Amino acid sequence: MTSTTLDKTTIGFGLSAAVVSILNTLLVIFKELTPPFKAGMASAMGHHWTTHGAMVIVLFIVLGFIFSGMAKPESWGAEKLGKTILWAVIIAGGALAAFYLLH
Amino acid sequence: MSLFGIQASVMVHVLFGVLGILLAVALLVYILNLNEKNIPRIRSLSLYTAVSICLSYVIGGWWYVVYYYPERDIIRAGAWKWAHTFFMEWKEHLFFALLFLSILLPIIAYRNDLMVPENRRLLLIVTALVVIIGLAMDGSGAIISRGLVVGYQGR
Repeated sequence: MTSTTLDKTTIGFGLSAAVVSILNTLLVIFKELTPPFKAGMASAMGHHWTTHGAMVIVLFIVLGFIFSGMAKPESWGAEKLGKTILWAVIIAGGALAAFYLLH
Repeated sequence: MSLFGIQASVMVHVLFGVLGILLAVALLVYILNLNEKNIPRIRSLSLYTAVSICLSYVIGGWWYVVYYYPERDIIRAGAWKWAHTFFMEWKEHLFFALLFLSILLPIIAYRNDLMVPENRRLLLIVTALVVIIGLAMDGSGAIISRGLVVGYQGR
């Protein structure tokens, strides 16, 4: 391996981690503010958190493969991907904390 | 399951979580001292970290879904009800970001040339996030445990 560009699977799953971290927070906010939806999640797999986990893990895998197929290594350098992941996780974790502080 | 089994299973969850953090810290040190000879160790550490965090998720998740509810009610009735309403809620959902980042570690380490400075920095960022979020999970778990003790004391 002598390539200076990232491989497509790394870009795909890196972007998926960033996107699904944000979607995970949005799903938390939506289910907490929509009791019937949360009840539906609970009845689907026995516990809302189990369904929540299944949804985000499947999404992470599916988006990982989709983004891997679409990725253009020349437009997603390691520096840009690193910053994207970092900010996505900060925003996701911060928004989650803010939501539970205010909820 | 026996009371011992229930308590042992939650400790195994904590054990794999802490092991994952320690492995990620070791990985961080190797990335900071990266050379050609360290790369096989960096790759194996990235894989062990991911496996450890995944095991912590599966065991902790099973315990949470099956056995946490009675403890939750005790915490919520106590003076530290925020140990559940903030820390457990935050922990159980942010854990997914930790899970994805830990799975990303071996993908970065095995599929890219780590001697390229930008690739090394990417692995460094993701590893540092795993350590920081892992420590936050660990601290939250400790607060939740104390919340349960406070809940029992108030009975």
